[in-house]
Amino acid sequence: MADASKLRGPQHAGTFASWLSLIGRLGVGQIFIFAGLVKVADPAEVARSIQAFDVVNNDSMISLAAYVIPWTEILAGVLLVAGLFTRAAATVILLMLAGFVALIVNAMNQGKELECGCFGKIKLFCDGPLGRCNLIQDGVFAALALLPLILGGGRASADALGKAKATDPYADYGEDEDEAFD
Amino acid sequence: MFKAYLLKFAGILVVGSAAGITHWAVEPPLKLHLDEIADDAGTVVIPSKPKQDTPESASNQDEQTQPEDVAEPGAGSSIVLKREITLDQAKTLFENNLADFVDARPPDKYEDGHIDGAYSVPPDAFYNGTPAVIDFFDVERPIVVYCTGGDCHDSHVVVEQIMLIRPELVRVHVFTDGYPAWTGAGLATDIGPDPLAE
Repeated sequence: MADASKLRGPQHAGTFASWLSLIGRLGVGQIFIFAGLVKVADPAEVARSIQAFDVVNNDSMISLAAYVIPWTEILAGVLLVAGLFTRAAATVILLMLAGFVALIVNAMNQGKELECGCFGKIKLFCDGPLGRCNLIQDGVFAALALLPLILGGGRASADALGKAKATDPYADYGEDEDEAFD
Repeated sequence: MFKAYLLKFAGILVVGSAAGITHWAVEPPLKLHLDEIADDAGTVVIPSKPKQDTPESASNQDEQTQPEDVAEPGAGSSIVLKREITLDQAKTLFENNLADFVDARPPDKYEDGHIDGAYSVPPDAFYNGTPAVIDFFDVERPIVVYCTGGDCHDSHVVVEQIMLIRPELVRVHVFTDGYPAWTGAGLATDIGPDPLAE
């Protein structure tokens, strides 16, 4: 088994891990861009969804979150698709997914029948009230986001292109443990 | 470097938040609640109940099983309704025929079952002009709009639309718990399409 940290450079652009990272980046990145754009177009709907979870009671905080969450989704999604700051963007997405899962589990435990505001009013993968389908959906997104987090930018990523310009393409990438988080 | 990774991570959060805050600052404030109704506009006088001669009511009297949570107002008593009303209040209005009920759910759900006598006015109905029933509402008579309860906001949307089209209609209420609570309480329902839609 090859050391994943050594598969990040452009010299490994054709490797299996590099393709896996690309699939993860494009998959979850595009979904987050779409989800963010849908929400930005209708922040009132996002605010109502947040309100329904009943975890924040301050209206100003709810309104602010209704704008901040979609824009952060879009930014992280764009960075992931571009492969720029890949690991940091994947971490942001994973943290957001963890938050969504916590909210879903909380709503399910309280027996609340809430609609998923994941994609505004659009039912992309799951219909009906929040439940197991939404947890599986977020689990799949998290698995996709884990790929670039573990493997790095991979094929066709701005991170890899940056490395290629900055260093010898045949340098030993990932020799330094810390470099795995660049 | 791990430090660089943390900086990039923080940078994404800061830039994303900055974009969101900027958008929030330039947009008009989100309206998360309907304007509260004035007490005088929300006051509904409950008439004294006439002598009930129906077999159903007779059997109820025999059994002495009047539920405690059902308001049994005396002659001339009144209730003050807020913008959002409870199941008990909706039930009192319904049983005393004091309000018009509006179903904000999609037409197919309305046809599967709705509060007896309710009109079907989903939010989509406003896309193609004013639903006919809006013109017939009485200014003095409360209107109760409901959907599926929970986080369903279609009833709020319909209330806003009604008050936008006919601002003189101020006695418009949202039955917050909606149709599931109504059926859960075993109250009167009906099925079939809205007669006004035909």
